[in-house]
Amino acid sequence: MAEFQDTAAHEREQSSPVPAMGLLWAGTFGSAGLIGLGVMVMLTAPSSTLGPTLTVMGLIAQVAVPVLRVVVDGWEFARRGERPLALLSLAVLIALGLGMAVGAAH
Amino acid sequence: MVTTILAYFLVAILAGIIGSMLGLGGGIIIVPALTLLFGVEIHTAVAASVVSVIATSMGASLRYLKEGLINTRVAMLLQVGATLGAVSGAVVEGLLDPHILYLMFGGLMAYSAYSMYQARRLELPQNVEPDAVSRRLALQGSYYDQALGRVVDYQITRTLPGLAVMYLSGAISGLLGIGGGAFKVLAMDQVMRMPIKVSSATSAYMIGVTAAAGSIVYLLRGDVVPQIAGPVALGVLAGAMLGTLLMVRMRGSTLRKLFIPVLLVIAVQMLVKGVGG
Repeated sequence: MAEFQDTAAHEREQSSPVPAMGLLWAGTFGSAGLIGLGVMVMLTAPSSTLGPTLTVMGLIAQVAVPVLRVVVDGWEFARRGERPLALLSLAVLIALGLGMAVGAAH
Repeated sequence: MVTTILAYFLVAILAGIIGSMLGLGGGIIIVPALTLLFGVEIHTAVAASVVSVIATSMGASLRYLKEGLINTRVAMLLQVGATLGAVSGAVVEGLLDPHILYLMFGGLMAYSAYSMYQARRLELPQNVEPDAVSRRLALQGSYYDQALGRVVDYQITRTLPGLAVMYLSGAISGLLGIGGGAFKVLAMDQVMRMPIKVSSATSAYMIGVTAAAGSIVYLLRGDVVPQIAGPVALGVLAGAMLGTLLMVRMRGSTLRKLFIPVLLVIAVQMLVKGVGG
């Protein structure tokens, strides 16, 4: 039993770091691409509204990445049966929602 | 227009390098640079800085996750404290005198800089006994340290006091707008006794989540000026990716020495605001 627990703990430790890696890559370079495109348009056609619009879209996409990362991490913890950490992820999401609501109200 | 955008981009690269290496948002560089060098209004500078924190976090996390330097389990636990702290900070805003808070936490930062100076030669924490919470959640970790050329196994202690400091860090950054990243690193390094490289990398991972709530509020309010925030976000992202390349090859003791002046600058910024407003 003790050996099983050791192995389970080892596997958990080894597999813990990178559940959200793909999301992080796609989100980072996708949002940076949109922002970059927006900046290029602002430089070439300063009076156009397309550049600022693309930039803001890229910034909003960027904001979504950490939130989605918490969702993916939480899902991964739940899938592995690590209920306390999955619940913590849920608590982070609730706190983030509260933060946005309180911030918007201010 | 081209020159100004290029200048924002270059300043942001520097902020990204420092921010990603030390686990900070980079506001310590971006806000003064935008306001003092380019004459940007403080409100706009803070909005650009808050939005760019996410870029620092994303750029840094890519490599640190790959290197095993981010402890996602610790991050998830501490994130609860930091985010709830930020909400509490926003709720009690106006009830507390910010001058007193600036003085208190400026003093605390100065003391932390002194503690960091005393431990400047410390490569890795020694004889760390994991506490019950750390054992229960299996928070321990390991990573390959390129500078030391070996795998480092580490344990975590004083998890609940660390969580309390993280709550405080969230509240302070919510109330004062600065110091959130620095407090996160200090909580993990000095309270929970994690290796400084893991503390910085995990903080870099966490600051993106904390900044998400603030960023969306700034974006919805229309405080974010695309002509400023766009090049800043791109520069910070590029800088963060460069900074991680440097950090993974750096010794923990070197990172500590880099941290000391940054803590002092934050301490002075806070104390000046506390005294003068």
